Amino acid sequence: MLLFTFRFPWNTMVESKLDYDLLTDTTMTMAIVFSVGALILAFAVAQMISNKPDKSDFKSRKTTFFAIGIIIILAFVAYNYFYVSKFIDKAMFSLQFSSLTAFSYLYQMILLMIAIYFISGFVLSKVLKNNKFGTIFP
Amino acid sequence: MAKYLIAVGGTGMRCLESFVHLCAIGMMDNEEINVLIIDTDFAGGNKNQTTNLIDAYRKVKSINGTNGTPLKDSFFSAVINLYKFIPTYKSPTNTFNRIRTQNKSTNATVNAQNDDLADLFFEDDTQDFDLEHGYRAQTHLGSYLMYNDIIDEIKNTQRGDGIGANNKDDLTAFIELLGIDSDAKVFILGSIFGGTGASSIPVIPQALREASKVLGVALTDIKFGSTLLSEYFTFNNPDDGKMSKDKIIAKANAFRLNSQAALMYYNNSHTVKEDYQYFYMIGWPETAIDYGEVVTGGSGQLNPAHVVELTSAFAAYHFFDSDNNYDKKIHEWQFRTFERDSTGNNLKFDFADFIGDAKADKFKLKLAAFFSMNLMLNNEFYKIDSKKAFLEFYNVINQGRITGDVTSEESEALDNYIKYFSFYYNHLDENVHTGWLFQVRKSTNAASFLFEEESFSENYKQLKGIEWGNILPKHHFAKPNFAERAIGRRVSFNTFTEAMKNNSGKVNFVSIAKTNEKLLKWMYETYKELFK
Repeated sequence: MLLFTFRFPWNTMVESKLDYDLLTDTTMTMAIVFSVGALILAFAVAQMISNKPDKSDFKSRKTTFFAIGIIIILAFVAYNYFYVSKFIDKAMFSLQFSSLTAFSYLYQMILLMIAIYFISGFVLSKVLKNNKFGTIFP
Repeated sequence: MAKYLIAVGGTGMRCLESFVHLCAIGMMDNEEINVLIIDTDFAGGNKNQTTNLIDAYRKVKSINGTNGTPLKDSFFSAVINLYKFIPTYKSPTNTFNRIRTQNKSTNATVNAQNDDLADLFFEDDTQDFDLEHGYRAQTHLGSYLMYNDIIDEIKNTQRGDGIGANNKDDLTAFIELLGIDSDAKVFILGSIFGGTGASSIPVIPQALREASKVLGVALTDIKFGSTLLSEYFTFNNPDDGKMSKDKIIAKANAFRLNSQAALMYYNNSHTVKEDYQYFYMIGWPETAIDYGEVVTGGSGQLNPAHVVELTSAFAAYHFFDSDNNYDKKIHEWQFRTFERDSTGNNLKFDFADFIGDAKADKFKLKLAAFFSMNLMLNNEFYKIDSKKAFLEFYNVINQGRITGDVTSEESEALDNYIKYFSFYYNHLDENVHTGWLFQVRKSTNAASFLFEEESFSENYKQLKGIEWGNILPKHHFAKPNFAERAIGRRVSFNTFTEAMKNNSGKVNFVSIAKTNEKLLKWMYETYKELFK
């Protein structure tokens, strides 16, 4: 497993084991990049929400945090389900990218994204207590 | 060394109110101020407002039954201890004649001589008017009565039946404290054109010394200072009906003459010059403010604040703050004035005009910070009960940074104080009810007064919508970006709370026991950074 590798060109059929391995590595890299990117976006959006005297800003930040996380995961699932899996002929390998059963690769990537985005986000919120991001999990 | 402040009469109460506000904004760091109020008008509106104000101040600071701890670099930094001496003139001893009758000798010749002496100094109407609302500008009578009332009160208290003090030990306690302090400084706030103040200023030092002898307390090395505040307000002359009913009424058209006569007296009196080391002659060169119908006294006497009262409060500040060097032989005259604006029609006010150049920035920061805090609590928390605004702000900003709780009583105390200090809203009627600072601003009649003009708007919607971070000219800290400006979003609250969070690690709470005072200190330090 090699992180931060990309299968190029990506829009060609997967024809060998090597090709398939490269695809899984690329998918993991994208999962990490999407999650970290989403966390950065959530952090930036939290800074843009003004403090309010009635603490409604706490709720706004929490809502946008969860919304961004859910949207990015759904987008990743859709990307793999509708696009990536198209380039895999063999059904048993294709299912790895289009099925959400516990053994599928996609499922593992979703767990990875949850860990990076939500759990890291929670820890970051606790560490940055004085920051606006800290109000998401006060 | 504690400071001692004596406020005498209605005008003295107004000046004391200004001084208490100076304490609230934090001008008297690390100080304990012992305040004695002397008034003959038991129901006096000015007196009641001032005592209610001091009560609200003490409720912010009080802890474990005491009046709190002096602090530095914060709001409400001084401790104020209040003592009261209210000589009451109730029937059957509510006129000079009746008081004299109670003390008549058994010797007819002595009584006849005393009658002649009284008739020599006091007209018949003066001997017979009702003293319940004060001396009504009859200072020749008032000085005599006040001097003897102070000494009699101490004697009566020693016998167990003093009646002038709300707490009958107040005057005794005040004098005993003076006796303990070496190099005590006593400042007297009062006018020279009215009744109680004008009567009392000349005699208070002598009366306190005589009273201390009764107590067996030595008063040594005490410095006395006083305002000599000349007339600055007027009111309608009483009509014939009122004159025939009350006989003796203070008339506004005599105030100027009273002031002149008083100033001549102070200039020539050897006794007064021996008793006092500092006099602050304060006057108002503009048109006197008109209070309309005459009110002899009682709860109806409640005048709006005036800028000369703030000037008098700063006289007390200067007296307390100056060094103790005083050369008995040399009388030094110093002057301070307000400039006129470019039109020449109105006075122009700057922070330095009240306190001098050296401390102008200190006054500017503290007043701006406190006023901005008032606006913040009123404007940002208007959706909830105003008494809980400070508590709500604590819940929003704290997030575990300060341990402990702000109680609803403390929140209510600060809310009450803010109402007196600046203003409060009536949201149902969409009105602004103005307090001290707004009234002072209005009294100047100037084009502007220390802050951006919109800060003093009495229009409900306009005042509620202002950017309270931008009230101090050339020190705006609420700067909206392009998008925020485009949508008209106010940013003061966001800017201030972010600055508070960034500042939280730098504030030293070590000497502060109360949670509400910790929060006030934190807010003060944040304002200090923002208004740099």
